[in-house]
Amino acid sequence: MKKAYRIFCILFLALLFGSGVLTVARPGESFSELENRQLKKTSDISSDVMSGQFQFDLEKMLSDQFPLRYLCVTLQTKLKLAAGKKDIGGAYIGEGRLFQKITSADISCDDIASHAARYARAGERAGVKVVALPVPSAGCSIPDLLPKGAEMYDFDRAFAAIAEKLGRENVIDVSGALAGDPKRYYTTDHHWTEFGACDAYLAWSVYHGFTRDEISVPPVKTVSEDFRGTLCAKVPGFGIESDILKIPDIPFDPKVTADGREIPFYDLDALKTRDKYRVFLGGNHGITVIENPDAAADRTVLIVKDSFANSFVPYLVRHYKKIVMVDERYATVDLATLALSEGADEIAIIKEAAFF
Amino acid sequence: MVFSSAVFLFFFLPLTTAVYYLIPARMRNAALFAASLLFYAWGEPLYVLIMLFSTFFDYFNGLALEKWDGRPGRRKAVLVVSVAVNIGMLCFFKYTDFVIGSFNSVFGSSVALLKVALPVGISFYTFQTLSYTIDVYRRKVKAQHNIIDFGMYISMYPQLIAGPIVRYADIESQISGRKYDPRKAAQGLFRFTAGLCKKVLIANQLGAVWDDISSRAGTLPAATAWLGALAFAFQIYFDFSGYSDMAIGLGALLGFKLPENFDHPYESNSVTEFWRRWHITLGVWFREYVYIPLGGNRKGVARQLLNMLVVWALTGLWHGAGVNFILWGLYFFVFLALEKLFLLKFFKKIPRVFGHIYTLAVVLFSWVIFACEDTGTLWSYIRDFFGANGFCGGSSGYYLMTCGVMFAVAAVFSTHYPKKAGDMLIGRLRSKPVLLFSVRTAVALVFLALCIVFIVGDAYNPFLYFRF
Repeated sequence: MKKAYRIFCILFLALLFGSGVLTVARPGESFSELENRQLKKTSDISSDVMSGQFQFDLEKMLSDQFPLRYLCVTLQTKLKLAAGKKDIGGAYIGEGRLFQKITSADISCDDIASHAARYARAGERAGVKVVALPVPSAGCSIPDLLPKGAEMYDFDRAFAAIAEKLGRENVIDVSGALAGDPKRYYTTDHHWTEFGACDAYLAWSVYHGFTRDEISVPPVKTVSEDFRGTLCAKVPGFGIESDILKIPDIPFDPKVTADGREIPFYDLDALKTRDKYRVFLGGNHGITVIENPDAAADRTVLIVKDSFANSFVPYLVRHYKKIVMVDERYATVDLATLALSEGADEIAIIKEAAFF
Repeated sequence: MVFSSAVFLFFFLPLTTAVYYLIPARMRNAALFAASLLFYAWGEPLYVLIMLFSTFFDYFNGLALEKWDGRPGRRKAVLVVSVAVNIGMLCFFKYTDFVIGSFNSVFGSSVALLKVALPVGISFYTFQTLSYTIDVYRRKVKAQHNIIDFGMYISMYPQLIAGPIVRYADIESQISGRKYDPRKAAQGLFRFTAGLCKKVLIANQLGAVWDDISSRAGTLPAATAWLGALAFAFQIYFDFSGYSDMAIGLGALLGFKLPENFDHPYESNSVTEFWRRWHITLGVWFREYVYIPLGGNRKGVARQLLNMLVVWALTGLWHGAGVNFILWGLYFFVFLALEKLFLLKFFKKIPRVFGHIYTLAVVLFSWVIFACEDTGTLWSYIRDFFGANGFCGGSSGYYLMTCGVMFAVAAVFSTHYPKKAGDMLIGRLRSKPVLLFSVRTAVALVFLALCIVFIVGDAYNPFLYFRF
């Protein structure tokens, strides 16, 4: 019997060590499409032991390169779902759709207000009007489809914080237009669909006083029937149908420059990758300039954006000769200076309300 | 290093165990000492020196006490110096900023905080080295003459970071008297696996629930606040007792019998009983080295209550450098005193279930005080707890539905019934040793694999925006 116990101990420890060897011996993957991030490889491990970076990197490498890693995550997700969990990896599991979980603890109305104040100041310095279009998150617009009792941040409070600093008359409220209709948001991604973006466009047009002749909703074109967005990456192992990705088929051929390089308006190569939402302008860049010489009017707008604006901008191209888009996560610019140098008539902030 | 990490599981554990058993028995203590230093230095490359200093300091104090066996004056001096230096070091690393901050609050000054990082495990190993010096002084144990053996006792990796607090007297005979017993080693691995499951499968999951609920303190209906407290109560029990299980299991793997630290505390029928079943080695330490030297219960009731007050204020403070921790200790003092005075007698006269419910309520609320280190959050949470935002809300149903299964599993495994059922099953299969062995092995390996699934899964981290 003693021998059996010994065998058990050896087996137990050998399996552990074997897992370690298998993990380290693999050639290793450097990028995870599902997670949209670099994976740590053996060659990436820092040699700085005293600061603890080596230890951290080694641990990270072991979990990043563990064989059957996705199987582990999938199994873990399935077990959590079986136990009744409705929020996994930062996503709420609704009925046949996913939501990004953003609670009141995740946002700071103080930060929102201070950003709004900063934009207001930029507008004053540049001598142009500042307009905001805070985008309600999916969970705020279709709360009935959230898991019962799941909390999302209060969009109205965020809206009020912005309105207080910019002036209520300078904030476009699209929450009414987007409320209640699940078609306006993707089920596997946190962005709005072409429907949601279009409704926002109509609200924008009405606000800016575009004439009925000027306003035009282009037809949409299906570019992918297998769009699996950011949210289903958070919950691998959750069975959900793909979204259908459609883009507005605009009758223009605008010139797009992103951080100095010319790029296509729609990046159709992105449709071959996992992150298909990047079809819109090729994703997020620091400064993107869209020029449409065939625009209906000689207007220029400076848009401070996050990725929601990427699918909104195709509707605007008709109305603006020049659209300058700034993503402050990728470029630090002085908005007033940029607005003046580009000749912007207006600074617009089009960002998700939670992270304004 | 942490037990529930890939580095420990895949490399440190198998390799050190292999080396430990492949080398001659007389070299085992040195090997374990070396491995334990690596284990500690892995997480604290600099502070390992503090731990070594503490170890060697009290090693030499032990020798000095022995050398000056007939000189009571000198012996007392050595003891005083040892206690002063040990407590002084602990206070410096742990409480300096708390003291400065409190001073600032009271006197309105703005003395800068030192922001000294806390060496991992200092609260545990300091109490161990102190217990050694005091026990040598009391002539309860003989001084250890082998510095490697002593170093191994203090630093042995199973219990270095989070206990159980091992008194030298409990382990003295095991330092050189360990016999290789594969059955105990295998049982150690079973116990280790059970502890790992407690931490990875239960504690970590419920910890996330507590983080979620407590992040919205101030807006919670009472029922949600109770569920949050329940999540924390389970988290801390499964985390701490799981860690102790892993420590005891690893000790057994290496041939040591370490003291038990938890005995299903949530089954207690009084707060007095709770503290005999929760973090047992800490209670023993405070009783032996604070309560009894102060006089214990041998100087009348009033003095006994005072002694208890001191012990519980210190127990609270030991857990953390914060006002909430002291309050937590004093909270228990109140109930322990009431029980000592008349409540225990009262509960003996009524069915046990009432005592059990009372204990659970008292303990549940105590965790709120313990968990909210920020006084603002604590006050908001307490107000929520007693209905400032109503009794029930959407979130209450949400957490009940999404965590109900987890709570039920945690509740069941807080009791002794799973172990009883397991023992019964083992008893039934004893006549078929091959089957019994296969079942136990399979179960252990399946749960080990499940823990690895969760450890790897928890490291999965999708980014919303590329390279952001």
